[in-house]
Amino acid sequence: MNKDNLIHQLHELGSIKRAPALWREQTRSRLLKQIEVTAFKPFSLAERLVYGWQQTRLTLAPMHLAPVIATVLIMVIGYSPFSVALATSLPGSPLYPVKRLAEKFELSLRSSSDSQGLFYLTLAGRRLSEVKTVSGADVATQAELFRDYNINLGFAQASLETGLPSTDLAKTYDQATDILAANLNVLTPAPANRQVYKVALDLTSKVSSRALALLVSQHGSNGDGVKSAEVADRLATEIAKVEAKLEGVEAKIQLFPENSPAPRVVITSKATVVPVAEASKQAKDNLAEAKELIARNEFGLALQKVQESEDLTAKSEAAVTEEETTTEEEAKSETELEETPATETGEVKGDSTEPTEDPAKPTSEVVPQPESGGAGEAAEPTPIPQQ
Amino acid sequence: MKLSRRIEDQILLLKIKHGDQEAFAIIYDKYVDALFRFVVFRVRSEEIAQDITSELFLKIWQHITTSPTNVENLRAFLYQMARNLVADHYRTTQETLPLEEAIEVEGSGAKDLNVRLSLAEVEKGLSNLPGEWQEVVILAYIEGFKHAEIAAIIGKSPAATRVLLHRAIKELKRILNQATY
Repeated sequence: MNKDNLIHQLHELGSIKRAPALWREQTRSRLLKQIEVTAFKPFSLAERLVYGWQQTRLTLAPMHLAPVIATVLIMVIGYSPFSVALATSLPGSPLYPVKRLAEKFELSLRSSSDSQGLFYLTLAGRRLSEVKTVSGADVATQAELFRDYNINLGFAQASLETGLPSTDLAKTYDQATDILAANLNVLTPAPANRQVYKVALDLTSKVSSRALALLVSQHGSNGDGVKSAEVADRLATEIAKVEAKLEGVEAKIQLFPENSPAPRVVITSKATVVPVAEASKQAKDNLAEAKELIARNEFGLALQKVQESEDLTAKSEAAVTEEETTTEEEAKSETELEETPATETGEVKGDSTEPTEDPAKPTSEVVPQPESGGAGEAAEPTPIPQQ
Repeated sequence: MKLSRRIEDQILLLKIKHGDQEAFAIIYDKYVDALFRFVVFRVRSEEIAQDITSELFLKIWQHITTSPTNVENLRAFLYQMARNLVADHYRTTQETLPLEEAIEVEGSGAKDLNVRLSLAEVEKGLSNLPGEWQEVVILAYIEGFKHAEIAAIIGKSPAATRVLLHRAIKELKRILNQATY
């Protein structure tokens, strides 16, 4: 029997061997009963986006349109002066929509999730560079670019989560998100875009943490892939970042008035609520423990401590910022009330026994106090303003 | 692997992750025959293969719905799981099971007796191969996997898989030639 004949026989063997039909049906019904679930877990936004994108690709896959359109596009884009102008085009430029279209085609040509993920990271970086060039007054474009940044990073994250990424891929994500975070931190969003900007910061930090966690786990599973010194350095950088943030938090805590009630922070791991100073101390202790663990090459545990510390620092930062904003607002409203003429606020400063500006106005008729707080609360009843 | 099939599998996986039973039923219908075939060739008993395949699908559901890591290549993942369950089976029974019956031919009226006998011989020859050799032959020539995919399933490099497959086919030929004469 020659090899070809044998292979042919093996193919034949595969085509005739099937599961018995009755067993197949019975097992199907039994399995579906066994796995019955009561609640369908809702899809997250990122998953919905991935799902929608996959569905579109599935619809387009049999059409074989991509190679044809891509060839035409590459021919057009490949024309050098046009190519340079396209690459440098910014929102508002007539070439910008073409640039975005070209990006979509480039993406459709990438078949593996790794290469798509890396391209999504590139696109996220491009959107950030474009935000820098957009004037702060152009709130809508700024918001759109931030949203696109978030979407691209969401896709990149999804690809990072697909399967087990290689050490190189985890490193690339780690470095890329570090750069993205640094670029994001120097941006000043328009007040209306603070929310979308915050989402961008959170998402970047999430992807960065995930990439770091992968690096640490890959060191654990394969010592050849990531060197101990490399992981230790990376964790030390992370610790330094948290320490810098903690310093800022502690400086703000010092500024609180002595007798004012300190804001409180929830420590999720201990299910307790503690004053912000205690939370920040706990964060510091965690970092100290992480350093000891790193020295003993226990990177998994060290990462856990750093992450706990990051969580506590973020919560403490939010608590002190909120407190600061409230205090600032209170102070601002007090100043405003002091500086605003009585006719605007409907308040009268000074002794209530003093005569009103217009003696003809009746003094007995009063209107309710506006809810201004601060100095307003101490003000006397206001005469009805003259029409 | 075809792009459309990979995307289709990813969509199904995403749905299963969120508890979609219909998506799971699609995967079952799509892969049950192939997985059963793989298992039955390995354990050489239809009854045991049925038990292992049922358990396999239950484990697939549990893994996809509970594991935080996503599955990149569904087909490879399914065969990895099947392979592990077969290995568990041999570990617990610690014996080689007999070939229970001759090849069951479904709708094979058109096939002549010589071919059927020859296929039975091939199957017997296959069952005499060592475990890993048997696996690579089944995956490559019965299930139609590429070397890289087999490598991912059995956890070896594509080059090592190619060598393994070459040796397995050589050995199978030797066994079959010996049986003939």
